[in-house]
Amino acid sequence: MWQTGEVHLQPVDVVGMGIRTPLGTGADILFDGLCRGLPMFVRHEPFVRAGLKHPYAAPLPTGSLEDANAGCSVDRGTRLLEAVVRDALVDGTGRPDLSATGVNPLRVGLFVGTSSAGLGALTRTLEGGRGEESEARYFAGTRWVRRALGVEGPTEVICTVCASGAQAIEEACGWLQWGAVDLAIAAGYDPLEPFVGAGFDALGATADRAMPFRSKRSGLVLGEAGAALVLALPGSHGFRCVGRVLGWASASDAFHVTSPHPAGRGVALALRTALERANLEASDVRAINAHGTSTVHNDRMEARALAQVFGPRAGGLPVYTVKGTIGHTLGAAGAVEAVVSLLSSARHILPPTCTHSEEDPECDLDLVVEPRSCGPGATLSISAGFGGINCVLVLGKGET
Amino acid sequence: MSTLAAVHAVGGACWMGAWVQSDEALRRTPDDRELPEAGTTRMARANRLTRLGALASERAIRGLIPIPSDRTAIVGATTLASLRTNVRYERRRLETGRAAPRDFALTAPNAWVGEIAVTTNTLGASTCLVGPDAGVQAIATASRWLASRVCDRVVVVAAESLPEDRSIVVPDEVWIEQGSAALVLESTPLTAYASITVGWGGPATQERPLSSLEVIAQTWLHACAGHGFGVGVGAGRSGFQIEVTPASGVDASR
Repeated sequence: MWQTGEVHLQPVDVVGMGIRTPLGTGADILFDGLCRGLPMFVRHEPFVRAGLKHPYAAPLPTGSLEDANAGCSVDRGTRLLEAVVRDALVDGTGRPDLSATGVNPLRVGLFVGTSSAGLGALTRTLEGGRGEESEARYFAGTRWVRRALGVEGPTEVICTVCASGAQAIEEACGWLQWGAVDLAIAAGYDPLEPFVGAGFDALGATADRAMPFRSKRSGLVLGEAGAALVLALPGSHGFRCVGRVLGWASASDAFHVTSPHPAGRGVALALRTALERANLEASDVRAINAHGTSTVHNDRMEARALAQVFGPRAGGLPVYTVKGTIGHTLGAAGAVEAVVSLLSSARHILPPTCTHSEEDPECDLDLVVEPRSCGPGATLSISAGFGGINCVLVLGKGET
Repeated sequence: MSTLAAVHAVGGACWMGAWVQSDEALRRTPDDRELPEAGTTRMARANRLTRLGALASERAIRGLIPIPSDRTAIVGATTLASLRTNVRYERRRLETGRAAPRDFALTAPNAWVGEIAVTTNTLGASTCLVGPDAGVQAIATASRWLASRVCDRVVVVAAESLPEDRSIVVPDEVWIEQGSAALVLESTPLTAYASITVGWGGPATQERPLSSLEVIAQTWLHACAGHGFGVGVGAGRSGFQIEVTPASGVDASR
């Protein structure tokens, strides 16, 4: 009665990438910084003023959003989104807009993941400010960028907290596959907001330093970032292909709004489904770009999920996470980590996980802690969000 | 205009202060103030957005043949998302200097979708789309998931809860109703149920903007009533069009 079997997906070409993180602007700066293996956490003054117990964060470098690509919005988050989208268009087409894409704006889609957009405007409004009420919305930044670029095709704002950026890529790839768009821009972004920092702090989920997968980990450190990918189907464009999205899948924990399922059943299901849809076996995987938030529960859950799918010690697969370096960037994380996975594939290097203290026997993984050469194959990038939403992207090198 | 394969509306529900059974009642329903008693302590502690979403989605799936939980998916649609809780949380944080952890958890714009997944034991894909066109986009995404065989059943649920402080609401949003609506879609051909077709590339088909909630509600109510219905947002907005084609044998009293 029910349809069985998944549809195997057609890979999607990544033709441009834009990224801004605490390490700086651009792909090379990001990857070189990750390979240095130094954490970017500082005492973040807005968090200090807000009275957080753990006021550390990894913000963008000062002046990161003052260039032309960042536009003229008064909202920091909106400038971040516009910046990475324009950066990605420059990277792919040579122009910071749609003019060199060769695609009718009606056939360009914009898919944006975020969890903190508009919260700064809300805070300012509640503090007595006027004129920003309409900007205190999760979709305000996307609305601005859509108008600024002249995108006229399907536009979605995906708000699934830590899975937002990955699901934006998933949506973009899905609509490309079905022909609703010829070019898709997928992005994830989140500015640092005391609204959010105070909340995680109140939940007891924060720490002064992130130590993913290690025994003394005690919580996450927030980071600020944005990343965007320009996507198109192979054979449909004339741009260079810098990487490929080979597969994707989402699954739910159905367990708790803020705590992951202890056995990682949602992550495990998403991993298996993503591999199946990409028509890949476990042996085709070269590395795992883990969610790796450095919370006690997440890292343990993720290790268990990987063991379920790949076997003990994740089948010997190398595992890394960038959250020990640039923090947890929430709505941006899935998109940022997709970019990192693609860069890693292109360079044949696995970036190290910046972490500390002895191994945790409950996180029995081959954790990459120094830059490591790596052969060809697919990288699985895991994102797990509040609400028990889990998303896995399968990423690989571009065909030459 | 290009389209996805038609899917079928096998269940639905709409709550706006009371259960709404017809398109005419949708327009006359008063402001939503009270909610039915929550079935569990957990739900009683949830915010209005979550309770509204759970109310409609649980009613919509009632009586349907059970299918494997990992083959059911949820797409949430909302314009204002957690704004009501966000205002309460942030106002308290600014006034007292302390963040309330329980409120913070519910400020996640998709927390309500996660709670629905918990109460309905949905293990398949889920997501939450936010914005003025989220209703149309949610039906479109659900249809695509069914066409891609990501799942066999999708619960598309919209919910809106306005902030108690209406000064936060802008003129464009005053027409947003409070309440919830859910639509259950399947791809298996079922001639007894209305079919829903998602397309793109065509012109917008309605003169006034419909809220995310109203899109889901109208789609279900027209499917129930055996009436054709079209909604879409053409160039300049979401780009998708939804067409409801009636079928016979639908029990509009569910």
